[in-house]
Amino acid sequence: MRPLAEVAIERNGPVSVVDIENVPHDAVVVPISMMGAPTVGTEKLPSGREATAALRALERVLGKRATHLAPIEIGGLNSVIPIAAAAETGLPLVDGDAMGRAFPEAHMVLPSLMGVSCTPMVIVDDKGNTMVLDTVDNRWAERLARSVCVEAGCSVFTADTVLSGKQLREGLVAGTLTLAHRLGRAVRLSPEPVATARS
Amino acid sequence: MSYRLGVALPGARSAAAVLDHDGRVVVAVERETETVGGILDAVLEAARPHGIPASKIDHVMFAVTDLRALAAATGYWRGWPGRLAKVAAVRLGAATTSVPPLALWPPEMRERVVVASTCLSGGAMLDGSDYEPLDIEGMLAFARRISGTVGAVAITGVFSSVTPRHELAAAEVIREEMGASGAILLSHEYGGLGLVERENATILQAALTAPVAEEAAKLLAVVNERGLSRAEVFLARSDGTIATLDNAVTHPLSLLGATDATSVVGAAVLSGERDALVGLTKADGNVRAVCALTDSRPRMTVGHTEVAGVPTGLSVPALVPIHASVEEAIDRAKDAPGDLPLLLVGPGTRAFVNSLSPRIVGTALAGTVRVESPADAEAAAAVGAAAAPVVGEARRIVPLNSPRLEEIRTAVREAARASAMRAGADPAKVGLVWTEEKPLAYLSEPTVVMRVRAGGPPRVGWMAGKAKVAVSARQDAR
Repeated sequence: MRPLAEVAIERNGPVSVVDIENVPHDAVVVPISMMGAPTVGTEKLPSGREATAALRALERVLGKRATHLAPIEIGGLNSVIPIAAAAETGLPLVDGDAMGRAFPEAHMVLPSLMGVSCTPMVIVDDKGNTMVLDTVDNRWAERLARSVCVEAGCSVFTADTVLSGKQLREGLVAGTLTLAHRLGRAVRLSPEPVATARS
Repeated sequence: MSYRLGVALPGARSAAAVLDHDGRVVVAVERETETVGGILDAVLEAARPHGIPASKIDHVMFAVTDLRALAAATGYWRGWPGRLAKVAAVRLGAATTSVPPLALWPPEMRERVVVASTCLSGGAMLDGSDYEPLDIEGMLAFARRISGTVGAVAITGVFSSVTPRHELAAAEVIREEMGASGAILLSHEYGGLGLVERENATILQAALTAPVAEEAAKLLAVVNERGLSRAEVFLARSDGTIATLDNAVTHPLSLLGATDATSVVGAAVLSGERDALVGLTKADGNVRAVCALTDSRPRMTVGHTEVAGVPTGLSVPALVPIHASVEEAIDRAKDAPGDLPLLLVGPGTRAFVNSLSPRIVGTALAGTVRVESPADAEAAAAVGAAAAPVVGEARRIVPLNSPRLEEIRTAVREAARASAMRAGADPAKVGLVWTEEKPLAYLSEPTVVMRVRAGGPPRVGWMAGKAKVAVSARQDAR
């Protein structure tokens, strides 16, 4: 799924990545991710307009503009989706993510432990269908979003778990985007990837 | 008594071997020649003292590497991509343009191969319903635009592996408009999930099919000239199985890496081992790569194979190249901590074994239980081709709660059997060789990708009677 980010950057220009330390306290940070089966995502590719659509819908509900995007998880597909989304929307991308790894469900993130709500959550499919969830807790957000996802063809975009700049230190694992980049470079370019990545 | 003849053409050196009907090697040769005629003459001469004339050979199996040998041996087509058909590419799935058709192709390959491309409404959902309605008007307009300018059309629909309905309907529109002026290739025939990779492979196959078929016809002529007209010709594929010449040329990319695959299969046949590591040697006596042999088959990559700079989802033998030392490659080729025998095959087998300290041979090299070069190891690629089974595969995505689950399982098994028979397996002996149901992750409804492989020995008697008449007619026409 790396081509999603590559093509988006080719079309829209490079993405700027910012350290958590450099994000203002009043920033509106929106994690954008894909939900569903990765095998479906590689077959039924996105159109490339979903991230913007999800962000605009969420902004309408929030009544304010997003200032930054952030990865919700750093494992797998969802480490490249926010890069494509940042290229598409022109917003800076925060260097960090909400779990420091990959987990299977939407509520399994650090902000959940802080008491931050996953909702309002916007779900957008490749055809342009848009839905806003407002749930009693984060488990319900996962449960309802999952059924929408399956009905929409098992691959959707979500914008949810909105954080303020001030909440990032507790809500995100810092520096994981650059860590992933460093690991990838070591594996690709170094004859001794483990030693290189450690140094 | 009938015999099988295996021929491997990996490059500057060639190998050939004759196996009897019990799979025993009767003669094996390995020579510095690139021509089909040269290696056939050498093996037939070696077989004569054993009382094996060309007329007693029922099957000839060729293994070629990236089609280059096929070309160099028989004529003007020097390597590929050289002469490629002009292709028009159609994608059915208008809302998939985050990665448009051909986006990942090197520009020079794109210009060389693809005349026109389009992305139209169509395709299927995971549950088999329409993803988008098929844009028949758009299809017709595109068909009119390309008619007369292309040698082949490649059609790729979203989830055509679930249902090929839209690919088939689109093919009908193209055929109606284009007449018989070119081949139509449908991506569901080439399998695999991953829209872009399958689309790329289908386009490449479309570009290669006509030139490879021409080369194959020349290969057949050389075989017939050597008095082997009673033998049916098969080509080895990337996974170390074989398919009839006619079937294989419609899937030219499946020939990639075939000599590596048959080398590994040949090592298994010659040593009697089912699980081992195989060191592929070069003529100078160096090991160029190590490949794991698992259950008598080469370990395969999981896809992500670039062909002429184009990403595809093809699986090829998982070769571990030598960076630092053979031991290091052995270590990386293993998928479990236990030590395995190291089998050496290929033209430099003897030179490599001689270069090792006598202490190591027959005892151990780090990571191995012993180092062995089986008899006729130089010709392992030819032995592997001659001994290979004919295998067909079918796959389908199925929700496990489908009320028709058993019916679907039966249909997939039948499709695999049919695919094996189309590839030239003996209908009397085709059996299921492997089944897999792999769940798709992150769905609320349990859904699996079902894959079934069926296979058996190559069919016999096919070249008698009418088929033989057809071959002579083809020869007369030349």
